[in-house]
Amino acid sequence: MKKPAIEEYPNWFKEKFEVELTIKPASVYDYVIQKLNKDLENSLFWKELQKNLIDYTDEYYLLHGYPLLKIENIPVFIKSYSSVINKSFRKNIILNENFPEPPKNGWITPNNWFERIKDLLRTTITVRYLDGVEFISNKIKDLCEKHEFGFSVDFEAREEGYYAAHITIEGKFSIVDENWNVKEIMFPIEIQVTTQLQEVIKALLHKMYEEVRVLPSNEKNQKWQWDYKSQEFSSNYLGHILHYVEGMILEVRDKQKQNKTK
Amino acid sequence: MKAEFQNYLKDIGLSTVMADTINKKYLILTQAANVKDFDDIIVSEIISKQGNREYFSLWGFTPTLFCKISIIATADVHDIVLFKLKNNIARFSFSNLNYDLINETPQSTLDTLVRTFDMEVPYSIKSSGINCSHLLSVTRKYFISNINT
Repeated sequence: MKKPAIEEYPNWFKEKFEVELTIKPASVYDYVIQKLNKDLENSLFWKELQKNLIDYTDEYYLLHGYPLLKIENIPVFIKSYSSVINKSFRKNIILNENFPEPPKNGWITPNNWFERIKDLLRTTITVRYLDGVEFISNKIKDLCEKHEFGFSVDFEAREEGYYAAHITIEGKFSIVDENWNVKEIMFPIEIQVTTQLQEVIKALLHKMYEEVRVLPSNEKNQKWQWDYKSQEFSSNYLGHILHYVEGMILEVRDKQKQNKTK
Repeated sequence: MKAEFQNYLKDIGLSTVMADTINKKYLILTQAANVKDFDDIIVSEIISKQGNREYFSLWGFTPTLFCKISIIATADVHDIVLFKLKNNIARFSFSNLNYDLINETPQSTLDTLVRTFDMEVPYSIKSSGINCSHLLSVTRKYFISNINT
């Protein structure tokens, strides 16, 4: 059976699950995600994370002599409903090797997407130095243990030149289902920790990633590494070069510190 | 550390981590200066262009000497210097001044450069925000009053 394209996805979904994606799930999503956002910002965990940023940056400063973070409130970004649809399309269709059968962990539907999609709420903490990524990641891990939040981290190093720590924290939150019944779920929130240089690259490339992600595999350029005229060639290698430069910056910093002790 | 110094550290908005470090540095400095407590202290710090607070040193003052300890120790070297104070101030100057010395704001900055007769190089004490009025106060109390005339 041929996989539907993104334009055909809502009709495919309606036939498969008898759910009209554009109507009721949209209003339920908007209500629930706003409530989850508010609950997260009011949680003790989040308030302590915000408060601790200055301590984290001073601790790093005392270790290395350079500030790690610019102290400001961590903004939380809410995934738009259209992006949620796109994500469910990627997981249910594009990346589903079992299609037309369910993917390995089951279909993503409005019944479970608050638990299954990890970045409906996400934030980014930007650090100045490469080793700060792991430093902050460990601090968040300690905070999660204190507040009984689940914690997992992926230190991403993608072929496309993207480097960041993707932390998933998970806490108990109340939501409503499509019949407006209250239920408790373990809701995942994504905290990305990346460097200032990688953040610049990410902002430049985000739009391109989103467009490429919803294309079927055979339309994607599989060998961008050989197509020096392609957009991916220069932007992807720029990401790798910047990561290398950030490593060199740390080498210089550490050598300066060593020289001071002689 | 005296309660008034703890209040000072709180007033200039130190993080818990930095206040803890300053407390430890204070103890070391009192040991080096052989005093139980200082009469006054000041933390030399600036707000960088990127908006971060950067800390340099803790200064302690008694009627007869003033001394400093670096905030960032390298390989357990604390970098402590002590200077005679009484009638020993050769010169001091203000720089990086961006307010009227009366009404400081969170964006205010004030640096002092001080030289005693026996210093090889002058030493700088930096301040920002509410710390500026504190620097002005210690400058008047210890440097101006000890300018050798």
